[in-house]
Amino acid sequence: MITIDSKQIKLQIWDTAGQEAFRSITRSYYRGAAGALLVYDITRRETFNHLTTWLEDARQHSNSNMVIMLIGNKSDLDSRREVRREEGEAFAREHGLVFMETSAKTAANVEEAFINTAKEIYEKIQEGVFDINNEANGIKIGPQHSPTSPGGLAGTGGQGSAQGGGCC
Amino acid sequence: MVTSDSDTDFESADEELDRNRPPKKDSRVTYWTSSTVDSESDDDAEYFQRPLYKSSNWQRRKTARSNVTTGQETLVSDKDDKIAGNVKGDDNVHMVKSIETFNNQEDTSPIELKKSLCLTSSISVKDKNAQFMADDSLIVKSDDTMSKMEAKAEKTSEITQQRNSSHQLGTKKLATKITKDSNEESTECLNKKSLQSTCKDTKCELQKNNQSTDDECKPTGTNDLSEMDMPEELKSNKKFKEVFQPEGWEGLENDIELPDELMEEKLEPVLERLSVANKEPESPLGNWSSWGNWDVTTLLNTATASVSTLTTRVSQGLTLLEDTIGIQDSRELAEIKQDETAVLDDADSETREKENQSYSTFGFGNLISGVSSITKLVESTGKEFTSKVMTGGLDTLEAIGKKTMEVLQDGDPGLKKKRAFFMNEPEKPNLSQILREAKEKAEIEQKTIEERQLARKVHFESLFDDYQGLVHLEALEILSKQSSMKIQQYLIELDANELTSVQETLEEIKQLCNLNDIDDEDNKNNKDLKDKLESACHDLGVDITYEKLYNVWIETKSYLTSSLTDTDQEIFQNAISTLAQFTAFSIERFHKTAELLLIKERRSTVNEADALVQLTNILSDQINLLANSFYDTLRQLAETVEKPNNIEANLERISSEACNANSYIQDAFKLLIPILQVGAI
Repeated sequence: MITIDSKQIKLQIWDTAGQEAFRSITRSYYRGAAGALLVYDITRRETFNHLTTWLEDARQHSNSNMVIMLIGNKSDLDSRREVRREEGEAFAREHGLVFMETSAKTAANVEEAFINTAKEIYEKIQEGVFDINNEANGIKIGPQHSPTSPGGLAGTGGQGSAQGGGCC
Repeated sequence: MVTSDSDTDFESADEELDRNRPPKKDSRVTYWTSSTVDSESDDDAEYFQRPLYKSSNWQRRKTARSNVTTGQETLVSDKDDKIAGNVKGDDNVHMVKSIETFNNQEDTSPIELKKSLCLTSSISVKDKNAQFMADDSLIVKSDDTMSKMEAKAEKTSEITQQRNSSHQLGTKKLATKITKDSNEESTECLNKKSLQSTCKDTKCELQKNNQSTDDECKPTGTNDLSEMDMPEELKSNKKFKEVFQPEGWEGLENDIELPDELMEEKLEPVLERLSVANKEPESPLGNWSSWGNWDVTTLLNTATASVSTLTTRVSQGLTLLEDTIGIQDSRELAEIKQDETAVLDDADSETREKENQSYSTFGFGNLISGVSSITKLVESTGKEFTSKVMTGGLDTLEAIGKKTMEVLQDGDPGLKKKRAFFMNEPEKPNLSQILREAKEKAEIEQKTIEERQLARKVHFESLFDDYQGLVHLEALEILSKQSSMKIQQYLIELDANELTSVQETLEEIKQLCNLNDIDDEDNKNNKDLKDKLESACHDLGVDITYEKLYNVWIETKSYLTSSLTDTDQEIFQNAISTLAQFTAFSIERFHKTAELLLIKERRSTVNEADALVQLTNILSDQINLLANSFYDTLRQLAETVEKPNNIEANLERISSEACNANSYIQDAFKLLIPILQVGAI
């Protein structure tokens, strides 16, 4: 439950498995999601390399307006960094994503990652990009009044941001 | 002519009287003015009486002006005055008639009294008045004043002698007016039917009447008498006083009663109705027993008007005095008067507002402030006559008035705030009402917030959501839908034979998932929950544990064995919370199970279905067990606690929420069926 622009927004977050075996299931969740966090591990280059396929998957199975955040996790392990921050920024710019580096371990930017995603979604709603009356977009109007309430977010990628480690 | 104007005023007043409407109070206003004018005469008692007389407000300005003009005119021409007096006398007769028609009981005694007073302005009357004054408890230090009065009387006599020639005319007019006023008053009182006030008035009048009537002729020839007697009265300086005193007397009585009533009974209602009263000035009469026909508004109006009229009248009286004494030209007088009245009008408006405010804030304030203004007036007049008689009582009254104004203006210089609040927005409810409403609103809000928070604590759905139950249920739904779609797509691609066989298989799976045909629960109940869950998970063929649920159960068990310190409400909250938590975890497990089943490479649908049925039943049983545990604990508590009703309701809630939780689990289980079926294809 977060508040943006004095409006209460409830985020419904699913942590999807990053394993290849679960990809089909993960695809199920894309539909009806308003946003996604694509998470890679800055200490493992291969997770970064897999981003393209995940992004394609997400774009393919989701609403074209879905907000996608690119998250470089484990920013606390800067000494073991394999993917430079600039690379992540460049990838995000190239694909129209919002980029952030986070650390699930120190909780750095974790909250911000979700809030920024929600803000993006909220802005899109304000712009009229999302049809808030169509629940297939993953957006439901709350019981009280505010135009937005739950934004279904599929946190996808190498791993759930909170759990650390993962594949891809 | 000016006199005619005054007559018209009186006539209008008469009409008002006939209607029995509150507006009649104008007549009283005239009283006031006359009395103030009369202030020339030295009696203190009169002055006191007048201030109390606030109730007679109405159109004072009109009357005051008319009086002024009449005074001037009287100076100019005696004939006019006489005519006016005649006309007035006629009016008086009319008035009397109307009064008689209204109240036979009252008889003509009040009228007669007034007439006698007006017509025959005798020294005896004066004396009586003085007596009345002395008797009156309200007149503070009356004894002192009396002694002073005598000294003043001498001075005044000199002055009056000088003035007599010119004065007489003015006095005549005034007297006649006064008489009319008094008549009107009586009629008003009658109309109002305010028993108390009328009674007192009539008493006073009767007394006066008796005295006066004895000395003088009968009132039958009122008109003639008025003309005839007037000169005599005028000759004697005391006429004014006499004439006015009865009125002031009456006024005193009325005033005294009014504030008491206000204080006792009507103060609150008056305040509350202030706003309303403005809206409907002609609001129903007779609600107020003592006030009779008077509205709240009229009361206020009269109160304020009386003050203003008082001031105007005083000015008039002063000017008149000047006229008589200094023998100024009527034109000069007129100019002066106009100037004065203009200034006074301004002052009046202010005083009126203030009066209203004070009245609204507290009914008694009006009285005091009125008194203060009156005392000031008296002082001013006293300067003219160098009458120090009143000073003692006046000082006291003035002190009271000043103090009152100080209190009123405390933190509100010029009473601007209060004025703005009460005067400019008549539709606005009064302050106390607003405060009360605000307080109630705040209390209600606070209450609703607390209730909502409390309700949320025992609201199953909210807690279920808090424990992420809904998120997983929705995810499970998505998976279930996807599986169903897959099945449908698969079926579409099949030919008829395959279709029927596949459909049969799907139907068999459904049959396997029938939750009702499991009755060997009792045997399983002997086993530990953890063992049961583990065995079920093993049958599923998936790497999943239901330890979370087991932990919830363990926690609950330990809580229930040590929950003796908690209140029944806390136990109830815990029960609902535990049920929600257990249900949410079950759903989460089902969701996870579904995911795992979907990615399972080798599906053994029958085993999975059997395991899931087992799991579902275990979970359902566990929910019932949880609910029963709490139920028993609470029931034990209910036997020891005095207020079992609340607990009974909570027990019912626990039962119903347990059903609710079971239905959630069974719904989730049904969502699993397509996932099982997909595995069979």
